[in-house]
Parts: sequence; C-alpha cells; structure tokens
Amino acid sequence: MIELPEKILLRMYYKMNQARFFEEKVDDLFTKGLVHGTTHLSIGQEATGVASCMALEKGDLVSLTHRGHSQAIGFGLDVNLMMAEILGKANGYCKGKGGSMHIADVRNGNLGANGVVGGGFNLSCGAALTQKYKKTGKVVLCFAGDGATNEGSFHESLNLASIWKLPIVFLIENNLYGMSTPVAKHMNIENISDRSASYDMPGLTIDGNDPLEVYNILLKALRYARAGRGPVLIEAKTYRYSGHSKSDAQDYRTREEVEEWQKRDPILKMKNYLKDNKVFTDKQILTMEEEAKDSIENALEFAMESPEPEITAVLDDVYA
Amino acid sequence: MAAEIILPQLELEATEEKMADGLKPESMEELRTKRETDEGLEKVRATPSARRLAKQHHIIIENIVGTGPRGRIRIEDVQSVLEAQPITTGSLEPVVIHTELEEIPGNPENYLGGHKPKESFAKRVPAIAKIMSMVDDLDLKPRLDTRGPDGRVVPGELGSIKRFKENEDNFTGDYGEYVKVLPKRVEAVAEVINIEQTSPEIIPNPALNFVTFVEEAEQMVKSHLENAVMTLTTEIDMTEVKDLRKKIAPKIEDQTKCRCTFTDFLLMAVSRSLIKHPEINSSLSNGKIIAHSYVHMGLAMGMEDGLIIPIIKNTQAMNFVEIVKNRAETLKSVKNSCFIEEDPGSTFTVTNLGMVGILEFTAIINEPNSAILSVGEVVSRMRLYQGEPMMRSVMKISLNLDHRVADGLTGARFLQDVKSDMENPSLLLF
Amino acid sequence: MNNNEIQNMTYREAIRLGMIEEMQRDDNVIFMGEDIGVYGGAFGLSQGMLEEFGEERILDTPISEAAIVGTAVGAATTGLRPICEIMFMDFVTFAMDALVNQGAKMRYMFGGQTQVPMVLRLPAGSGTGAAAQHSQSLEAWLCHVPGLKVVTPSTPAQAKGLIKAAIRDNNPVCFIEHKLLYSTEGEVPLDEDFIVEIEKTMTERPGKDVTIVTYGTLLPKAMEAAAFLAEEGIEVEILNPITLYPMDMKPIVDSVIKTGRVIVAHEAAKTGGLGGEIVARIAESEAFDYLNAPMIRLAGLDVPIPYNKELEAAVIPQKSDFIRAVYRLLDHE
Repeated sequence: MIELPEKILLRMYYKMNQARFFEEKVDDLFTKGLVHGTTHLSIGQEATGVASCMALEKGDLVSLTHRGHSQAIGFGLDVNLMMAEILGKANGYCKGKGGSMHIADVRNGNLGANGVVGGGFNLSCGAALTQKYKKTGKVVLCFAGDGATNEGSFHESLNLASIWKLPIVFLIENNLYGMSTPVAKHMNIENISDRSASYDMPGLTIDGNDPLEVYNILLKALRYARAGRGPVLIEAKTYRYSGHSKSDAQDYRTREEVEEWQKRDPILKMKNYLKDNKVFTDKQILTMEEEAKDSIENALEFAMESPEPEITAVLDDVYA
Repeated sequence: MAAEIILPQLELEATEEKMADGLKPESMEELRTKRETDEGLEKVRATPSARRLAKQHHIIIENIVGTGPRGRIRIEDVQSVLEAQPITTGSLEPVVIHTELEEIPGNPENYLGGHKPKESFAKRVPAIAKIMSMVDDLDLKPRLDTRGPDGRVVPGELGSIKRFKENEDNFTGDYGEYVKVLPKRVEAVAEVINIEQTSPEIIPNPALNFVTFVEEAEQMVKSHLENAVMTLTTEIDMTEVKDLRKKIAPKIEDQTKCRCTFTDFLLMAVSRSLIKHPEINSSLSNGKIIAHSYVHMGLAMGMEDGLIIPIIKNTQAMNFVEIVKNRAETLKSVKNSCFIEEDPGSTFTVTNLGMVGILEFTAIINEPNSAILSVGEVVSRMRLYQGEPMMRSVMKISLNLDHRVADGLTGARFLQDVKSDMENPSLLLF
Repeated sequence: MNNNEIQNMTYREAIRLGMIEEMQRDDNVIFMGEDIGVYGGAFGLSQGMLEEFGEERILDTPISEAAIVGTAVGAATTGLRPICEIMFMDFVTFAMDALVNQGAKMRYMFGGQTQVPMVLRLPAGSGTGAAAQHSQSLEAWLCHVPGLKVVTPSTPAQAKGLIKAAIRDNNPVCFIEHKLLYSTEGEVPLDEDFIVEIEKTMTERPGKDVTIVTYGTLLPKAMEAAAFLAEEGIEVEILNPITLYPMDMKPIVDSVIKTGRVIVAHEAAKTGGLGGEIVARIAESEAFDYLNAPMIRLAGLDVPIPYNKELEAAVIPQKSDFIRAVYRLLDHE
C-alpha cells in the first residue's frame, strides 16, 4: 500500500467523521419530525463517498446520487449550507428548493445529487464532453448505486463514454441492496465491474469499506481518464447501516447482517490504521473527531438561524 | 368647490317595463315555443357577449328572443332590442360630472345637517385607493374587491356600510344599480367629518362614531407622512402560552362565558410593559409629548366590512380574567354594532393579522399614538430550546415607533419586557 | 455583419442556415444526433456541416436518445450550447428523464445556480405515410413541463429566426419542426442578426369576423381556408403561437375580444391537446364576455396515426374543416 501524506489522511479522517456526524444529526432531525420531506443516509458508506473525492484534482467535477451527503462533504461542500438546504432555508445551496436529494454546487463542479436513480450517468457524459471539447484536462467522477446499473441510461452512457473516450470515472457504490432488493435478485453477475467488458473499458471491484484502497484505486483511475484513455468503471462494495429512506422498516435484512458489516466500519478501519501506524496520536485523533462534531453542531445552529425563503421566491429561477 | 365624480352614463328610469314593450306578441309566442324545446331547463341559452351587453343595459335577457341555433340569444339579438329602444342605449364610456356635493342625491348634509369641509373629498379617493391596494396585497380581496362600475374603488362599500342600513331608508328617488353606491360613498366621508370634530352632541346616530376605514385610510396616510417611524421586530416563543392557555382556558371560559385567547395574554403583557415604558404609551400633540399613566388599548380589528379600532380602557388596572372579559365583550359589541367609542381615545394600538396567515408585518401608527404593535401568526418552527432542536410555536411581533417620541433602545426594552412576560406567562396571571 | 438581402429558400435550408450561422458565431455551440455527420441527417438538415465544422462539433451519436439528451444537459450546464437532433419526435420518449427530470428542473431545483442552454430539434407530424410510431405531434407533453420552452415555426423565415433565438436562449428549448413543411419555400432574411423572438404570438392574417389560432403545418391550411372565405366576404384573423410554451396569450385574447368567435386548431390528438389549454385560457380571460359562439377546437382524432393515405388525412383537420367550422361559428350552416 502506498504511503499517503499526513495532510491527506487528516482531511480524509476529518471529513469521514464530519459526514458521519452530519448524517446522524440529519437522521435525528428527521426522526423527530423536525424536517420536511425525506432523506437517504449513507452511514457506513463514508469511504466511498469521502475517500474517493480526496483523489480528485481541483477543477474536477462530480455527479452525486440521492444518497449523496458523504459524497458532497467529501467533495468539499460547506456543511453549513448543506444543513441550511436540508432545513429548507433561503441560504442553503439551492435556496431551499432542492432539499436533501438535490444538493448541488454547480459553480464549483458539483453537478448535484440526483433524485433519479441512473439520472447522473448521462449528465456526467455531458460534463465530460465539455472537458474534452475545451481541453481542460479535468475528469468527471460519476457516483451511482448498484441499482442504477440496471437502468438503460447506464448502458447508453457507458457506451457513449467509451466510444468518445470521455474522461469519466464511474464509481458504483454497491451497498448490496437496491432499496430492499438484494443485488443477487436483480442481476445475475457477482461483480458489477464485469459489465465494463462490453464497453472495452477497465473495470475493477474493490473493498468500498477501506478508505485507503478506495483512495489509491481512484487515484489510478482518474489518472487513466485524465490521460484521455477513456472512462473507467469501479465497483466498490460497501454497506449502508440505515434504511433506504426514512420510511424503511428494513424487513429485508437481518440485524446480524448489519452488525457484521458494522465491524468492518470504514471510519473504525481508518482509525485503527492511523493508530497502528502511529500517524497521529490518540489525542490528535480525538481532537479531529471533536472538531468534526463541533462543525456539525455549528452547522445546525447556522441553519436554524438562517432565514426561510420568501414566498415570492417560488416563482424565481424557472427560466434563466 | 366642485367635486369630480365619475358615473357610468345610464338612464335612471326603470328598464323592465321597456323590455316588456320591446317584445312583440308574436315573438313572445315564438319565445315560448322555443323554450318548450328545452324540457325542464329554465335557463336561457345566450352567448357570453349577449349576456354582457344585456347586463350592461339592464335588459332582462330572458325576455329577448334568440335567433341563434336552438334559440340561442346572440349579441345581435340584444343589439336589435337596444336599437328598438333608443332611449336605453347608453354610452359605454364613463362620463365625468362636475357638480357641487350638495347636488348629489344622498349628500349627508341633506339629512345630517352638519357642516363639512368639502375640499378634501376629491383628494381622498386616491388615498383610499392607495390603502386599498396595500390591503389588496395582503390578499384580502374577497372582502374588499368591491368596485364601482368603471372599475374604481368605491370606498363606501368598504367601510361600515352595513351599519348604515337604517339610513339607507332615508334615501328616496330612483337610483340605478350603480348610482346607489354613491350615497354610501358620501356617507363614509360624513363619518370622517364628524369624528374629526369630536362633538358628540351633533351626531344623531351613535353608530356613526366608528373609526371607519375611510378615516383610517386618511389618518394612515397622514401618519405615514408625518412620523419618523422605525420598526423593531422580535420573535416570541408561544409554546408556554399555548400550554398555559390549554390548562386555564376551560375554567376562565366557564367563569366569564368568554373565550380566552392568545391575544389576552399579549394584551396583559403589553399593558404591563407600557406602564414600565411610558414613552411608548404616549401621544404627540402640538409638539408636546404626553406620556400616559393609564393604558387605553386600541385593538385594530379587521371586520367583514372594514377596519375598526375599538378601545379597551385602563387595561393596566385589569387582572387577566378582566382582560379576557373586557376584550371579549368589546369584540362582541363591535360585532353587534353597538360599540360606542368613548372619549378619550387610545394610547396604544395592537393589530393582528395572524388569523389571516400573515407571519410578520408593520402597521401605520394610529395617531395620536406614538407606536403600534403588529402581531403575526403563531406558527410551528424548529428552534433551539435549551440547546436541543425542537418544534416550538413562535410568533413575530413588530413595533412601529415614532422616533420623535422614543428611541430604538426604549422600544427594544419595551419588546424585551413583552417577550419575557409572554415566555413566562404564568406571571401574567398574578 | 448587416445584410439586408432576402432570399427564397426552403424551411429545411432555413433551419440549416440558422444553425450554421450560430455555430460560426459561437464556438460553444455543438451539434449532436444520429446520422447527422456523413449522412447529413435523416431529413438532410445537416448536409455539409461535418465538412465545415469537423467531428469535434458535429457529433454522430449511437442510437441512444437518452444519452444524446442527457449528455446535452450535462454539457449545457458546464458551458457548452448543444443542439440535439432527435430523428423523429416520437423517440423523445426515450429521452424523457434527461429532458423532464434533469434539463427542465436543474435550474430551479438548484436554486438558480446553473442554466441549461440547449436546443432539442424534434421533427414531428404526420402526412408522410410513416404511420403510428413516426408521425406524432407530442408538443402538449412538453408544454406540461415548467422549465422547458417549446417553439414551432411555420414558415422558413420563422424557422431561421427561431432556431437562432433558441440557440441563443439560456434554457432548454424544444424546437418542433414539421416534416411536411421541410420543402415549403418562403423569403428568408440573410441578416445574421435576424431573430424571431421567443414567447411571441404572430398575427399571420388580420381579420374581424373569426379568430383562428393554429400552428405548425395547419397554418398553411388555415391560410388557404381564409383566402377562400375572403372571397365570400368573411374576414378571418389567423394567429400563430410560434412559442407554444410559455405562450403569449395577449394577442389571442385581444383578437377574440374583437371577433367574438374562435377556432383553435392543431394536428395533435384532441384529448389533452394544447387546444384545450388555449381555449381554457380564453374562457378565463376577459375575452369570455365577448364570445358570440362556443369556442371550437379542430384537432387530430383520438387515434394513432394510420398508414393508408386517405385514413391518415382523415385524422388531421383539413382546409375544408376550417371552412366548415367558420360557417358553423357564423351560423351559416
């Protein structure tokens, strides 16, 4: 395994914690009925969400899934503005019009979380086409779930991306369930990366709960795409601890299965790595965790202090 | 001085008779047979344009013979009736009449006998229209969207017309449908005149003693132009009040036979705070600030037919139950139109648009008061409560303050006291 | 560059010229579609464009409508101004997620952070014997999606001016072109700044007796009917809402107030068609009080488009239908 600079490890650990605390806080708010709508939590998937983004260069773009909080935090979105958006406030990322499923920061290259499963594949092709056309040397990291790979758009985009050699890394977070349906029931292959063969693009399956592996593989894949050699398909096997959305009773899986995966928790794994390799002292690790937690408390406070949108704003921004 | 009043040109004589004349016997016959084909349907077939024209000329459409398919009355049919009755064809254009107010039928002078300054009438209408448009913005249209035939705002319809029902009997003569509006408009102005003079002995009808919409409009404009107004807003956590009310309301309501509302708590808190901050509870007249040691609370009420500010006197001396009782009775008397405003007027005014879904607003100071408190809707919002996010019932209140009388800090302290009383409402009961 | 010349050309050439001018004007404009390169487009709209602009800007795509439109949305939001050709409007069904859930919503859903300047060219309509899956007029679907703009030109001049306006517009614009109009000729200004403004309803013929609101390929039929009726002394006013959504209703309302009689006509099936919307808006407007007769909708029959020539024509309103409807409104029947 490649030795990583401390700075990256620190950011990675901090942001994974931030993502975890953020989602726990969001979960708490929704459970208490304090927030309108629904949310899809990625607790347990912090490695694929955060560590992958750590491998990006400045100016690279991302397209997120509906389960996109970790991905957004990993990409560097401001947790204050994210929380404000979830609370529907006027100064949230989308002025309170998007909510949890549509957090976006297009100016900085975040093409947005996508409420439609499989909706991001095509958009990523378009964004990558722009990079190729304008010769920016930037890459698009397209997140998707296992379920999305059964959409027609998966095939159309991967095919288009490969024939046009678009600079995209498709990262499939395979969390083993498409809502309630286990992967085995919705596809006949073991590894989703096998599908890359039909597009003649590299396909890899990795441990999505190992942040360092995710980081290292992504680094290579992004380099490949950036060199103009075409897209890469990566499948990262991971697991979500919480239900599909806030209305999920989780009858489709056992408590034991969840506990088994919790033993392989990505944050725990990273913490052990940092301790075992003496990268940081226990105190430093604790400080990082506490700071991450504080940032989320502050974000909630910021969001609650933020103004509600004006009712008149309902008519704004339909057209440019 | 001549007043300019815009009327639709129309003839005042009864139209029904003529319409009957307009029907030739044979066409009557024809009409009957045509109708018979529409079994059971008592309605008449007519195009929208025919209906519009008939209505415009006060023609009863049922009496017209339709020549369209299946007896449909077409615009040409109405036109031919109008042509047969040249006297009934009126121009669609409004006609401006220049006249002395005395010449207008229903002029208040004719039955009130009081003197009135006429010069301000023409000016008033736009002022009222302005206030109207302001109120329109609050989306209260259903009760205010009464307009004259030419689309202009007819303030008489907006004010307390219903209360003048008995006076209407005083009017004689034939008015067209639209002309009838006019006397009401003039009545409304008459109210202003009488109130301004505040000489009760020349007022024959106690009902005239209301502060009406028209006066309100007039005063608002004046107030808005003259005062150096500043606005302070704060949010009150109403959860405690809500809980307390739930507990005590049954008992109080049983005892007083009156409903106990959030407003009662607010009136209590405001009265107490006003006594602590007499600058807010003062009047400005002729350059002198008169701070009052008593609170005469004006309670702006949007009624079905306009805005009224009844006054509850000496609220500073009342306990909670008395407030409940006085407020409820004042309200009731206003609704029954037997409320009589007494001299002196209010020292402070509270206005509430919360019941129509307004979250936050500012109102224009009700002169000679130096401040007005605007109360918004109680809504459920997530707030940090003892460090934890929780759903709380909150309400916004805004104080509009005449800066010549008190400064922002005084206003802020006043609001602080109201807020702290409201958030610890059990103290209000003692 | 100002050019006051006017040239006679076909509707097809006018659209092509408009695209070429805009691609010359702005490097960010790219063109994607199936068989638009060497083949020159299924209807010949892009002939010669590959030679002029090269493979980087004239992008032949696989037969993947969802990918074409989705890629266009992604490219538009990151700085390009793509034009997409969907070979037949019927195939827009494949691209509905990209168009409806992504392109149309992105700006609003993200609180105005982005814009999606793209054009979707959609050849529509029947009359070519292509039967049920290649002949539909699905504009009403698109007009039901706030965030999209829907335009449809009827003449070569409108076609050139509107395609240019659509490319310059910062929103997703659906540009519906009628296959039967491709070969119709008309005068087109060569001025490169000649634009037909979006969100304007055109008065194609003034009149005072009956208003006809129609668009697309029914416009020529309505014009013929009006010429016939003029000989009988009936003056028909014809309005063409070249922007179907958001529609400029004012000229329509004004015209109905003037005439008191209105026919709304389109080729698309009647039920759920745009005619219902136009008629409803007239009924809601002050024009209601000026109606002298019930409003009439002339529209396609509620059936799929059949193959047989006579059957196909029977589905779509013809010149004689316009004349009959006008008579009916004037009670001549």
